[in-house]
Amino acid sequence: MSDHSTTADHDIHHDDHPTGFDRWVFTTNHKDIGTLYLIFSLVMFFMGGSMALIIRAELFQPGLQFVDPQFFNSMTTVHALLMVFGAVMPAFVGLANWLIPMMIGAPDMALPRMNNWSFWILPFAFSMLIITLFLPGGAPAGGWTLYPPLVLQTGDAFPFMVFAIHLMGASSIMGSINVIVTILNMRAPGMTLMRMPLFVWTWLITAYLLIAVMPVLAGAVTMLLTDRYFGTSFFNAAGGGDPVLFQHVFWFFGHPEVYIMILPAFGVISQIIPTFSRKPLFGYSSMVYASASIAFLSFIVWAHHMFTTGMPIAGQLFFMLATMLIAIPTAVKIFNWLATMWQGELTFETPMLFSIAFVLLFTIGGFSGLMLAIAPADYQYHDTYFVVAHFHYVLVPGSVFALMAATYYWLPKWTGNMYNETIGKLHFWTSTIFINVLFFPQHFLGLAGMPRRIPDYPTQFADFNMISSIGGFLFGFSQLFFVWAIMSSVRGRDKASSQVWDGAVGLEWTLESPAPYHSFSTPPEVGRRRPS
Amino acid sequence: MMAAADTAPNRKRIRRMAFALVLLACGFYAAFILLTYLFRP
Repeated sequence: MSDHSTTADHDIHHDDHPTGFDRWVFTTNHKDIGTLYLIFSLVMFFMGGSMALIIRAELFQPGLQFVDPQFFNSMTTVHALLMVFGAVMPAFVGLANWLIPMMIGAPDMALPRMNNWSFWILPFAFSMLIITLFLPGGAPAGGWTLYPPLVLQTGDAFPFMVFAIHLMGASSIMGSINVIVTILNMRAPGMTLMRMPLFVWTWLITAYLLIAVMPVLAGAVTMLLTDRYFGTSFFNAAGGGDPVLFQHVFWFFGHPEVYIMILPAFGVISQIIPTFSRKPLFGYSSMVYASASIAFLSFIVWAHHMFTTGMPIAGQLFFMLATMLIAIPTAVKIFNWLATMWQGELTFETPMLFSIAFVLLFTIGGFSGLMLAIAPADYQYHDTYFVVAHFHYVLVPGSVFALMAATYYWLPKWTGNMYNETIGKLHFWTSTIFINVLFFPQHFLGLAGMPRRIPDYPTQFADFNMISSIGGFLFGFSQLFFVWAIMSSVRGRDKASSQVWDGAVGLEWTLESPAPYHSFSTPPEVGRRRPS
Repeated sequence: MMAAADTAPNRKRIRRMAFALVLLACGFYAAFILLTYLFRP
């Protein structure tokens, strides 16, 4: 790394790079690939979002209005697959690509060609998934959890869905390998593990989670494929298999997947709150150990998604208590963020506003998760809108708000221009108000007994559904402010300084804005002080 | 096109680590199919 980066020839041609088609298709540059990931995830966010609006339009009032039930089920399934695998995960990989080399003082990712490949298989994977909407039998409609025997009734879309999931998994595994190898081999001298910014730490842990569980999902869908086409009976009771076994395998992937989507968000928030509090992060080491504990616990709680399948009481107790244990390291994080803000010189720019909303609203999602963890109570909540409210509180004002906070925070570093703060704040307030209008009433619907994944419902649920749908449309259209704010930075005239935010600490802020095409041509000096 | 990390002095270590992680992922894939087969009722 060091002998390469001090090469005079390299310094002279510091910003030489191809342009146009060659630049974006053949790129091995971590910033270009990061940008591709971020743009791709934004496109998927809007596609998945439009499907959510179809769902909310249908649920605006009782009765069947716009779509037939089969298509409605396809919408819930494809919305989830697009949002989880197409929007949230690639967005965090995009952030990792942009930020990890800059944060650890590396010139690029360790495996740049694999980096290119791991991005470029994604558009093919999702095209394959989306074209199933036009195939005989329609798109997959059995829910993103793909439970057999229902999912085996999918029409011609089935093998497309399986292959698309394999490609998404391969992409994620390659991305994770790249992150781990980069962090463990490419840090600048002096950047010890315990001096790494929290975002890098949380991504290191997330990458290990991904390598452990994405092959499990791949195995699960492979077994579905062989059950359907090659006469095996892994999950077919008639042939000596067990459909509940699929649920165990799926959730052994599915639960860590939840933390894959939230741990990098914790990392983002741990970068932003200290900046706008003008204080170092409170309890850095405890944050690292809490992230590792959450990752470990995520492997031993999967069956809390399956309390109603008829598990032995000892199993229910184990999974209930193990799930509740996760509250401890999560609370460590929440209190550390609050302690960081305590007596800080707070200012409330858009990234900080999104971060504060994250802390508050993610905690609501966390608490409803604790309610769901209580096995006897879960018999009432299971498969109701309470679950829908719970995981959307974790994923939207959790993961997605963290992504928005991250975009506003690092956008001036990426483009070299400040975004329009007024539009940013407008985006924040509309999003925060309408996300609660959208999802909070769904708690009440679930507690009153409305099941999830249904296109029609009894009239007793009409009022809250109408409120929720209004919130959904307003939240959806509020995201146009996000695009406006991003464009204001891309086309902006208000040049950003290197440091951008006066409280920002870390190697990425030592680079000029926009960051040069190759980050560190000479390894930076890493002092004793922690960068985060 | 020369990638920035191509000339890193620890190139061998990077490749070995990446290969080990690929094997690990393949191992998990095979292990879980085998486990599902073994734990069928």
